[in-house]
Amino acid sequence: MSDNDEKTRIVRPLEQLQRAATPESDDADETRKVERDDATMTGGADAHSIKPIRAGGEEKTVLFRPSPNRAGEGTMFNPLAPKSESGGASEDPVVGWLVVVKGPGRGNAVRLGYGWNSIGRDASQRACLDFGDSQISRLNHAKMLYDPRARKFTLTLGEGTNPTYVRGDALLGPTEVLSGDRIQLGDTEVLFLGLCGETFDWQDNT
Amino acid sequence: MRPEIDFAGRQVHGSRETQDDYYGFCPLSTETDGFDGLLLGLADGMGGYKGGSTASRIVVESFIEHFCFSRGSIPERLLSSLRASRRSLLEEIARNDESLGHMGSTLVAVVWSPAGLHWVSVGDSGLYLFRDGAIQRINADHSMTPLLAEQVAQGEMTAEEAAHHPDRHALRSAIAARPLEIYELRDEPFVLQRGDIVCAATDGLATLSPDAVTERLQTNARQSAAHIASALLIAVNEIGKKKQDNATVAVVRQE
Repeated sequence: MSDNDEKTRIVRPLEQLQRAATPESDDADETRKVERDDATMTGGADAHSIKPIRAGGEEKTVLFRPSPNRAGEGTMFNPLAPKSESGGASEDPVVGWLVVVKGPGRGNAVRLGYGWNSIGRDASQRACLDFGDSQISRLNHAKMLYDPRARKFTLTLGEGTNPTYVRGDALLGPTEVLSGDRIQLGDTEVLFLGLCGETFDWQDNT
Repeated sequence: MRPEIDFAGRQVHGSRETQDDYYGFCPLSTETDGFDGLLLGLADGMGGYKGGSTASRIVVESFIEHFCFSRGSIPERLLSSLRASRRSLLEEIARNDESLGHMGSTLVAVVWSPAGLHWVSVGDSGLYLFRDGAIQRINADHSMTPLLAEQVAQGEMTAEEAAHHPDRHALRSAIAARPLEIYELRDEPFVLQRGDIVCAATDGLATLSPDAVTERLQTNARQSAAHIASALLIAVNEIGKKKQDNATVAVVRQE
C-alpha cells in the first residue's frame, strides 16, 4: 500500500531489518509458529543479505528476535510495567498512585492507569510493588480498577493468599477506594492517591 | 443516524489439532466511546500445544477489555491496549511453568470509526481492503516475506528462490516475552468509501492465491459479512492442502 505509507508510522529498528535469515535444516516436522533461538539467529555473520536457501522444508513460522546484546533482554524484563515514579514518555496517562508509606519500599510510588491495574511483585504487574516484601503475591495480590465512565476506583480481590485490608477492614469483594485511603498488602502499607475522579480526568481535556 | 456495521468471523482448524487463532469484536458507541464504530481483534498464537491458543486468546481478550476502559485518541487507545495485552500475556507466562514461556501471538486490532480505519498490527496477520473489485493488503507484514521480495526486486535473489526460502514465514515481531520491537500503528484514519469491505485474516488464508481471494470477494461482495467469511474458508477447505494451518477470517462492512 504505497500511497498511504507515509501516514503509517512503523516503528522498526534498522538493525533488525538487516538481520540475516539463517537456514534451518531440520525442519521436516510439522511445526506451529515458534520462536527461534538467538543462537541460531546469530550464526549468520553476513547480516546484510538473506541467503537464498532452497530446501523443500515444511512451512514453519519462526520468530526472529532482535540482537541478544540489547540492554534489558534475556529475562522477563518488561519495559512496559512502570516500576517507579519515573514516568517515561511512552507510558499510559497516570490516573493515580500507590505510595508506600510502611514496610519495605517506604517512600516509593507506583502509577495506576486506566482500566485494570494488577498489583503484585512480578515485573508483569502494572502496579509492581517489588520492594522486597515477599508477603505480597507475585501475581494479582489485588486488582485496582479505574473506570473512566464512573470516574471511580475500585479495589477487588486478586489471587493473593495473604489478605488485603482497606481502611483497616479485610477486603472481601469489590470495594470503592477514595483518595487518601490506606491499603495493607502483606507487610506493606500503601496510601492511595487518586488523580482522576470527579474533578479531573484526562478525557476532559481532549 | 447510526451507521449499521455488519461484521462476522469464521475459523477452520485445517489439519492442526488445536485452534491457535482467536478473534473478537466489540461494538463501540457514542455513549461509551465518543463515536459509533467497531473494534476487531484477531490473533494467531504460537508456542506449542497449549501456548498458542492461550496466547492468542489472552492477547485479544485483554486488548478489547483494556480498550473499553481506555481514554484518549484512537491511536493512543490502540497503543495502550497493545501494552495491556502484552502485560496480560507476560502475567500468564509468569503464572505458568516454563512450558508456556515461549508462547506469543500476532495481533491485528482495527477500529472502524466514522472517520475511517485505525489499526495496530504486530506480526504477519493481514488486514485487507476490498474496493472496486480489487483486494489489497493495507497493514504491514512483519514476516520475512517483504524483505525477501525486496531482495528479489534488487536482483539479489530470484522469485523462485524467495518463494521457497525456508524462512519466508518467519516472524520479525510478535507479542511475546521479548520486548516488543516492531509494531505498526495507523495514526491517521484510513478513509473508507461506500462499499468497502475490510477483512482481517491469519496466515492460514494464504493457502488461497490473491486471485482466488479476489474472485471469492467479487462473487460475494453483496452478501453479508458472515457469508463472505464462510465463502473464503470454504475456498480454503476446497483446496484441501495436506498441512493446512488454522485459518481465521473476520469481515467488516457497512450495510
